[in-house]
Amino acid sequence: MTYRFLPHTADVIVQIEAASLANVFRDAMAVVRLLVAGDTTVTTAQSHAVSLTAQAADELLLRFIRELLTQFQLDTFVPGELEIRELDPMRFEGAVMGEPFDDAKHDAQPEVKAVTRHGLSVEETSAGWRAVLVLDL
Amino acid sequence: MTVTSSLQVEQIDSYRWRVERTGRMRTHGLIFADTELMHDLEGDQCVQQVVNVAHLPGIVGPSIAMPDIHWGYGFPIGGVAAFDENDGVVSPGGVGYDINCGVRLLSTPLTIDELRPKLSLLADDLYGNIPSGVGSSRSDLKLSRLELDRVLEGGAEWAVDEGFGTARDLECIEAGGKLDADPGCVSERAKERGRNQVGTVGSGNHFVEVGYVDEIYRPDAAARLGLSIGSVTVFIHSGSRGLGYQVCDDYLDTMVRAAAKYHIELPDKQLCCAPLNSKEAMSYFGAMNAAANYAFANRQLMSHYARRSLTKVFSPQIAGETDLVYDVAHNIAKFETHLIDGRHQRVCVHRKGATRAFPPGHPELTARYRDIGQPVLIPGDMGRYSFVLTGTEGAYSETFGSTCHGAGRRMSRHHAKKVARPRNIRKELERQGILIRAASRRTVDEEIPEAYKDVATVVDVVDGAGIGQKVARLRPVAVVKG
Repeated sequence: MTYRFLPHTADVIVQIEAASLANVFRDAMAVVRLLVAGDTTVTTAQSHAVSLTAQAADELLLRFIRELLTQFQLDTFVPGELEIRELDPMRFEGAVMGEPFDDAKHDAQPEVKAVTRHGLSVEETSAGWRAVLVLDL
Repeated sequence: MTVTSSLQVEQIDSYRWRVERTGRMRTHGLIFADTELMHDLEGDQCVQQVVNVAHLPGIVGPSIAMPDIHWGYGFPIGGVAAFDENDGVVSPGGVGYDINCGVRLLSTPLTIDELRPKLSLLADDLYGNIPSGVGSSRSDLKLSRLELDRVLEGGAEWAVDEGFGTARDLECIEAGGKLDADPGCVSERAKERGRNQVGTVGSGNHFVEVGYVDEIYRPDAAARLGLSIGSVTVFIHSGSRGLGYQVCDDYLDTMVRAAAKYHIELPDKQLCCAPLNSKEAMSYFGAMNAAANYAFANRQLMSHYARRSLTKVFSPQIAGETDLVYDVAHNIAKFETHLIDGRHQRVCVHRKGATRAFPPGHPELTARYRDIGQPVLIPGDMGRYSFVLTGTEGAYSETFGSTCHGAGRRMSRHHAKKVARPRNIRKELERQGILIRAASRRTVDEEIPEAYKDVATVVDVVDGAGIGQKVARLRPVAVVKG
C-alpha cells in the first residue's frame, strides 16, 4: 500500500506514491474500494471493461476514478482487482473485477460524490510516480 | 492577522474580515466571522479559496465567505460570489456536485409532549419510508425516461401534480420549486443515475430530523411560520443525488475546455468556467436547473413520505395540518437583480454552501411571508440545535441577499471517526433523548456533534452582522441518516 490520507476538513485528500503509473491506478482503485466498502475482501465474480483516453495523466486518473464511482452508484459494484492491458499517460485499456456490494461482508461508508480537479496532480518523480486527489464526500 | 503565510487578513469589525486584493485578484475578499471562528480557519485552505474566487472574470463586489466557511474544492464551502451578466462567468465549481442541495422545514400541529410516547414508532416509520444510505433508491418509484424529463422540467410542481403535496407547498419553496430547465442538456448517464433516487435522502450530512421549537426570538415571525414553543417540526436536508453529481462532472469537463477556449486564467482548475453569454454557459444552466428541479422534487417527495408516516403513527388529520414552512437551496447559481453602487444590476449569484436570504418586501417572496422576510433554515449538528432565521435588508445590500447555511465542519472525517471509535455515539445521543436511525455506523461516527462548529456561534455572527435575523431554535429528538 503506497497511499495515505492527508488532513482535510470536509473531504478526502489522498496522496499516492508508486513505482509505476500502473501501480498509481491500482492504488487509486484500492482507495475507492476502501471509501465505498471499507477495509474488506472482494471477489472477482464480475468484470467491467474500461477504456479511457485523456490529454494527460491527471485527467486520465480522474476519469478512471469517476468510472469506478459511477459503477458503484449505478450497480453497487465494488472493485477488487485491476487488469491493465494498455496504459500510458493518455490511454487506459483494461478491466475491473469485483462484486456487488454485500451488506453481510462489506462495510457501508458515507457517500463519495465525486473526484475533483482541486489540487489534482499526477507526476513522474525520481522515485516513480506521485498522485494527489481530492474526493468530495 | 495572518491566516496563512501569504495572506493578509484585516479585521473590519466584530463580524467582518477583509482579505486584501493582491496580485491578479479582481476584487477583495470579505469573510463574516467572529474571532473564534476566524481562529478555526488558520492552517486551512479556505481563505486561499476566497482569494482564488476573486480572480474570476466579471466578479462584482467582494468574494464573500459566510461564518460556516470551510475548505471545499474550487469555491470554499460557505462562499458567495456574483458575476456581471455581460462580463462574468458561471462555474460549476461554484455550485458544487450536489446541485440544489438544500433544506426544508415542516411544522406539525403536534407538541413535543404528544410526540414523546410515539417517538420511536415515528423514527422507525420515517426510516422505513424514506430510503437512506449510499446509492439508496426507491423500489416503488422508478421513473421512465419520459417521466424523469417531466421531473427535470417541473421540479416540485411535478410532484404536486402527481399527488405528492399541495399547491400551498409550492408557495413556500424558493422559486416555487421550479427553475427554467432544459432536460435535453442532461446526459443519459446522469438520467440513468437519477431514475430511482427521487424521494431518497442519501448519505453523509443529509438527514430527516424530527425536532421541536425550544426557543423563540421573534414571536411575530415565529407565529407566521407556524412555530410555537414545544411545537414539533420535521427538517429535511438533501439534494439532487447522483443525477446532480453527474451533471456537475459532465459540465466540469465542458468548462475545462471552455476556460481554455475563452482564455480564462484559473488559479485552481476546479474553478473552470465559461462566459455567461456563451453556449457552454447556456447548456450548463439548462442542465443545472434541471438538476435543481430534481432536488426540489426529491425534497417534496420526502415531505410526502414524512406526512405518510405522521398519518400512520398519528392520524390523517395531523398529517393534513403539517405545513411546509419553507424550502431553500444552498448550492446554486441564479440570475438575480441587486442594487450595486446605486443602480440595479442583473448578476449571476453563486451560492455554494450559502442560503438565499431575501428581505421583507422582496417581490420574489410569497405574500404569506413578504412582510417578515424570507425564511432561512440553518441546520446544526445532530446533537445540539438548528435555527430558523429570516432574510434582511443587510443581506440584500451586503451579500447579494445571502447568509450562512449550517454549522460548518471543524474536524476532518478521519479525525471524527477516530474520536468516535471507542464510543457508542448512537447510545450517547439516545441518553440525551435523541433517537438515531442510520444505514451506516460510519456515517454516524463521522457526523458526531463535535465534528461541527457550534451553529449558535455561526448564527450569532450573521444575526450580529445583520445578514440574517434569528426567529427560533429547534432541538432534535429523532434523526434519520444515511
